[in-house]
Amino acid sequence: MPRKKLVEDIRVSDRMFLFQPCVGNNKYPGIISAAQDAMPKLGVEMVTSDEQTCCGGFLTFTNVAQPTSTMPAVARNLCLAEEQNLDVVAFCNGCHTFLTEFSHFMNDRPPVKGVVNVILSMIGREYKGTAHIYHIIEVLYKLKDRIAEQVQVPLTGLRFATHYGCHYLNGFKKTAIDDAFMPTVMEEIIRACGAEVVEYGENRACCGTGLTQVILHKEELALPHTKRKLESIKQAEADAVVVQCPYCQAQLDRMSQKLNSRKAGDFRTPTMHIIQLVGLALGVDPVRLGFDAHAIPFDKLLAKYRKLPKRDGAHHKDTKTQSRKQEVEVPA
Amino acid sequence: MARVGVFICHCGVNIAGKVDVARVAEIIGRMPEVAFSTDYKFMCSSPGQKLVADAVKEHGLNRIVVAACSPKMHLPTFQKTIAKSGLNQYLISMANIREQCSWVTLDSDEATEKAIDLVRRQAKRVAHQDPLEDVAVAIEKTAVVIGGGVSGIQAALDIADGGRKVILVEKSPSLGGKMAQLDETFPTLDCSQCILTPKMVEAAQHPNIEIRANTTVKKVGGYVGNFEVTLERRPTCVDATRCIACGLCVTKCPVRDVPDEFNAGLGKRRAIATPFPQAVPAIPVIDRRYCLRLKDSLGHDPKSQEDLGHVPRAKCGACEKICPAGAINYDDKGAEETVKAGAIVVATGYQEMSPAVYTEYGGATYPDVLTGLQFERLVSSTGPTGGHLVRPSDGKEPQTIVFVQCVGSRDPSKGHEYCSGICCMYTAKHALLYKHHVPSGQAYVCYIDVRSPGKNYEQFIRRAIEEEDVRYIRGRVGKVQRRADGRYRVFTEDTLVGRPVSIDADMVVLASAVEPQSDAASLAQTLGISYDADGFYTEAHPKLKPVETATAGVFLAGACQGPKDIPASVQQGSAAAAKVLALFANETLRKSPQVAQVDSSACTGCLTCAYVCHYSAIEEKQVAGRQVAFVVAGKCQGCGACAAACKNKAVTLAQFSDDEVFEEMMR
Repeated sequence: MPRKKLVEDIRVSDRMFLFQPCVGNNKYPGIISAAQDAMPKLGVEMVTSDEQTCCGGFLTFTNVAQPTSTMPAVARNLCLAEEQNLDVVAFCNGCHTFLTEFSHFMNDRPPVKGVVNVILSMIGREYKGTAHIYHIIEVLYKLKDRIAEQVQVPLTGLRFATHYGCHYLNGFKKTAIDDAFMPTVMEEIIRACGAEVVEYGENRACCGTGLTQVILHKEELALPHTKRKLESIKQAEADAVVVQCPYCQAQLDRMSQKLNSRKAGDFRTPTMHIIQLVGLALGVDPVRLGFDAHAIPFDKLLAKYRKLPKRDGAHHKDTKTQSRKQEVEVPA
Repeated sequence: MARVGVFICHCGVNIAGKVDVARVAEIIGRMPEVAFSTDYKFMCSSPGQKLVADAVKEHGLNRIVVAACSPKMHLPTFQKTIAKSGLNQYLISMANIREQCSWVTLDSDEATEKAIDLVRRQAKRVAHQDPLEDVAVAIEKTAVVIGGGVSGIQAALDIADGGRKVILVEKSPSLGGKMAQLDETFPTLDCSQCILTPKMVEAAQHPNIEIRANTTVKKVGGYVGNFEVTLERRPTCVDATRCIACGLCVTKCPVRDVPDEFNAGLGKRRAIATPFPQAVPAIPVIDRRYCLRLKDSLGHDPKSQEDLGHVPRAKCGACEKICPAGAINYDDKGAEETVKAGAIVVATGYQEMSPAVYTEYGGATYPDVLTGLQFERLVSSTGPTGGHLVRPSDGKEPQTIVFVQCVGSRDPSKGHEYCSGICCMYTAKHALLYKHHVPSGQAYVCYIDVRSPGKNYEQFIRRAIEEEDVRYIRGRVGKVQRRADGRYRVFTEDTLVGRPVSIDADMVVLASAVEPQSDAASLAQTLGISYDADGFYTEAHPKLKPVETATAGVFLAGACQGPKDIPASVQQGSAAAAKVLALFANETLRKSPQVAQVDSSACTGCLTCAYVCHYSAIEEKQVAGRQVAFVVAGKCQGCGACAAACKNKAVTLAQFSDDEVFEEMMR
């Protein structure tokens, strides 16, 4: 259950900084283009910067390099938003956690902030700590009513399973707007788009990525976990799984393909980011949602989607997304 | 002419280790008003007392100073001693040269000088003290017992059997409390109602007990021996003097979907109902939030349109029509009454914590994840399923059941830090009851420790484990997952083996914490008693005064003082009753004479003193045609606010006259 006071404090401006998630950018660029097309329909212009790099949080957190190098990299990214007087919207649980934690860390410790600013001054920047860092799920929840008003294609009859991931709800708990065990925020947004939500047993299980899969490549630990999750999702017979993090998206999507190709399963439920779903409902051209980049195809869902009536009575554009003729064989 | 005797106590090394007590006695002995001055190892001991008594006789002493510990420790001791020697007990003063001198001063010389100063001041002061006589206050020998659970019932019965009158106040329609909701009690597996209802009936029939059901305490004024308790009965719309408890009204009521509080939220009742068949009093009560007839008159929509059937909305009055005794009165506005009482016993019990915050267990969300009380209602023959233990979701018998201990107890992060004391025992009981209902089923108990301190309690736990194969798994439950097939997967660990464990169950019972009632704090404010950080009422001393509060005349009994089982609640009920009967055993209450007094010749009648008095102890009276203030000695608590406020110095506080105060203060 969302903590009401925190939701009240969310300030949505008409221009906000779109913090590009690196995994999103590399693997699922549809997340970014969906945001750029969908958010203006809700009255929010998304501003990007070509100077932005990876949030840097992972490197700082795992001590890959000296914090005196990595922390300024985090701060530099936040400067890009601050210099334009914008608040930051993160589209990834990882980005959001790291940016929030490290900005709090720097703001609470003037000596650390001082050192960071010494480094930043060498490149003509200064981190002030004024930008708010929001997760897209917070912004969308705050705009829930506006989403319901602006829906162009009510997603009636479409069934979605939700996966919140770990780092937003379980991480920096001071700011998470929902209960870690029984969250409802995504459910409410999905219903605002006219669709249904289906329950499944393993809904709060981790997707299985994180350090184990991504950094350590210990598949034998991560994959059984992911497989259990995917099997639970399969039982729920959803049209897609909705996530709020590109890491989770990559794991659930690509590991479905991997397990399929090893004949270790038959997982056909596609995975999409919440902003892509909102984009669909708001009538954004599906091409701009980037489903072609997904491993598990969206053919079935899009076919159902095209049959749904539009609010303005128009017809769906006949844009085909590429459907896979055959699975790519991946060596085991 | 004052002849002061001064006694400097060593208190072992507590004082003598820092203060040169011999020197203090010698210096003080030189004061003109001091006729005798000495030091002694332990003044509070028998020889110490004898020293004082002998000195009074031998030296003709008429004032006493004892320099020792805090007067809060031993002033009454010395007062009794000098009273036995023939001196008025108020002709004594104590100098605190321990807590306020030797214990808090580092340097020995400084401590000695300070002790001399402190004793000197008391010696000068005591010379001006006058003899005083205790005030005798009448005692109203009626007790008000708040709370009609087993503890309150026991207190009421014991006070009543002791020959005194009791008013037993209960906020719900019937006596019984939590014990009435239980199916069987540990460790005997007695039917709870069967052992409780005789006591309930006895209370109802006792000539010395008056029951006030549907009633709460609105206001309490006065003081020990003379309380004024304002009771408020809420409107029940059924005239208790006419109702014959036939139950016809309940059968005719068209509203059937009111959530049933007695059944812990499971099951429904009617808008007019008695909580359970053995209710005492057995008078049904109309729930004004749901009654169609009352809602019509209030202009709201009825809650259950569909239950109306063919009865037109404006014409419901089914209960009034069917009642053979004409007991229905829709115009009932409730009633307020003020009663006089000499003592109050608070026995308001506890409530079960809602497990809603435990979203990892699906508490208060998943239909087959229940609390202890809810399980109790399911197995009760008077419960929502007539005693058939079935899953609320689909009515099937659970073949596998998991009991989770310590949900909300021993948990500072989400719940309460304390242990609720009864759950280990009632969970073993539930496991046994489960096996009696479903002999082929399997029960698991996920525990941290098993606490079974009472008589035959440990044996009861062993019975569950050895006779009914209840599996005890030591580990905290991490999650209860609802599965697609409607069953639940419980994720826990077995710490004794060191492995994670998951159990597929049909039903999960959470041993939800015992916590204070939601209105406990506001009742405490009304009564003027204190409560601790967890919300339980505070006893006067944790070891030695378990049923008294810091407020004279107000006693505690039962779970409102802290989580406890039935035997302990009954014990406290009887203990509180003993305290009440002791209080009532005297003709009058001896009250301290350290009260204020008005010199009416100096009083201008401005009544500022009455305005500042917190205890409503000052009244006005006519003296020689003038209005003057007058202190009611029985009510005065000796705080001195009136004496300080009086602009004409017409009010003096006994033992705090100008002479006494200035002698103590000035160099």
